[in-house]
Amino acid sequence: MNVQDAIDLNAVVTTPENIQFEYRMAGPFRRLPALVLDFGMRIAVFLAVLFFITLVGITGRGLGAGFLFLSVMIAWFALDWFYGLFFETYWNGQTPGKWLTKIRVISVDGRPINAYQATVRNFLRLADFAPMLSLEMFSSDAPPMYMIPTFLVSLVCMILTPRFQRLGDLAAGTMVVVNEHSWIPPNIKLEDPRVASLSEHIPANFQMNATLAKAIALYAERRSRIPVFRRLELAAHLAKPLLVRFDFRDDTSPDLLLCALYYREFVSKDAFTDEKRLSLPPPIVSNSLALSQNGLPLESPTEWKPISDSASLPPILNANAADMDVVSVSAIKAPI
Amino acid sequence: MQLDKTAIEIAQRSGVELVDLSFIVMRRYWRSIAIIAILGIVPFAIADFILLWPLTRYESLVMTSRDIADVSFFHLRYLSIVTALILIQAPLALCGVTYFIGQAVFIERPSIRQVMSCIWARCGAMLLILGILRMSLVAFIPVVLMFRNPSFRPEVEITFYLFFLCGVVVLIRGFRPFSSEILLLERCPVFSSKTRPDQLAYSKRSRWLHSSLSMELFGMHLGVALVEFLTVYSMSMGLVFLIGVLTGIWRWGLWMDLFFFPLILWGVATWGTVIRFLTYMNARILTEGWEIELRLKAEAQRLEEFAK
Repeated sequence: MNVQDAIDLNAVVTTPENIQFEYRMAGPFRRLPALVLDFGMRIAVFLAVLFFITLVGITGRGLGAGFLFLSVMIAWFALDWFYGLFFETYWNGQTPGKWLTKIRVISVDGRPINAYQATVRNFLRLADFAPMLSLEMFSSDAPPMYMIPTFLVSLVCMILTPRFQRLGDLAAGTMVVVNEHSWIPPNIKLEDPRVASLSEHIPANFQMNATLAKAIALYAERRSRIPVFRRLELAAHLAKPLLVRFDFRDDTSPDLLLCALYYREFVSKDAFTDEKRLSLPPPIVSNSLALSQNGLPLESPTEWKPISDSASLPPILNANAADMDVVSVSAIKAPI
Repeated sequence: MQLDKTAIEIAQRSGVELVDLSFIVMRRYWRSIAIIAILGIVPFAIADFILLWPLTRYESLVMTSRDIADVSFFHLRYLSIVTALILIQAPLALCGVTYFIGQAVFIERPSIRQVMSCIWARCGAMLLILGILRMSLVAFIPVVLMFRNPSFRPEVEITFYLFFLCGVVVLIRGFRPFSSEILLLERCPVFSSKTRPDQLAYSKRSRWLHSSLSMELFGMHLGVALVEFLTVYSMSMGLVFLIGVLTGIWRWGLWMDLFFFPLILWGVATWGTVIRFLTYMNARILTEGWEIELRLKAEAQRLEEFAK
């Protein structure tokens, strides 16, 4: 099994032009609020129409009760059957409820749905509501009207299909996807000056592969929301082999090292030009990158030592390293 | 084991996405989940069936009752009790499912024997925390009292059962839902050990994991309860319809009470266990940056292998 096979809500759609898109599928409970909202809107519109017709019936002359009833029934029929069809056809696969909940109907090949597909999926909605229960189930005095939906057919159908398609979707060749914009990684400004300083000492020949870059970017993006001690614990996993590889001092803050890697790869000007990176001076590390005995950064900027100098500072894996402020700023370079 | 190559994509998700994702997890592992769930459920289901049987003799209960003359009252009473009982018992009965999914995430699908041996190894802690403190076994006490005297006694059923047992369990489970995961997957000991000071005890670990997310977890708990209620309604009514079509009897009969309704509740409880595990993963991602840890560890492994 590879990463692509991992269980997730994503579906890959290949267009007729052989272009692949990844969509986030909307499952039954992502779709439920849209259904409820659309039902509420239909009821609201129906009540408004009913109010208007009743007003005309009361004030108008020659309009009999039969015509009034007929008008109300036509209004309900039109709303119930053509609401979804109309909106999905003319509003690019969205109804007001879907728009509010940020979901959209698309064809399984990724194209927008057409009128035929909207008609089929909306006309089969009643089958998806099945089995309908009679009002008699709840009260023996109630009329035998089968009008209480159980949604069992649609629920079973959506659970069994890989793209969460109900009967109407299967017949129309459509699926419902989340309409949110894809995640854009925030660009992170690392305000601690030691980050830039340390990044210069990372060996120029060290090139990150895609998975390492992804891991570093994820860490840099999320670190501000993780407690400091946990952050150090996390960073230490990767920092240990990197410190050995870069021949850095053992007491270099793991958090700082990962931020420096992020800075070098995604933020610094050198991230764009390999030539500049190669022309850096020989690496030296200031003690300000390390931590003092009490876990705080050393304040004196005068204590510069070469990297090979092994100062007798404690290992910092469990130390309370100084936190760095992280502020999201406008894009310099998208991480991935 | 490649830590960043997991069977379920480790990513931060919303509550609705977790519920939807649980369907995909259930679909992929349905056979193993079903077998392990049945093994855990059967002892509880048999005990429930025997103990609740007298409560389904509605006509005789009406005849012996002085105050209540409505059969539907006793019917509703039975349905409430069986629902509450299964709700309380589910975490203990379905702990095998929790262990199985926890292992399956890392593509190490354990055999049923492995699941059982792990649960056996942790049964002391499970019985103490889930059985006694979280009342999965304590819930049998009022049911035994009802078995001995099935007539309606509000002091047992409403005061003790409904308010005390169910209320407390719902609150505890709402704010601290991940006890099975902490005990079975993280293998935290119930009490702190002097021989292994680095290992967090259950209570400390539970406080650390739940405290920062308690309100979100309680909100999620209520949301999932609503979703589960809707699913139980949908499945029960759909089944009544199906039985009506097949037999011509359009009523909620004794078969439904004794067999199908508990079956639906146990099925939904199994699904709820999967949702809870996914919520646990999400909680660890939010509080501990779990997905970062897995990725960084995996990268560290690769770097070390490369260095060798």
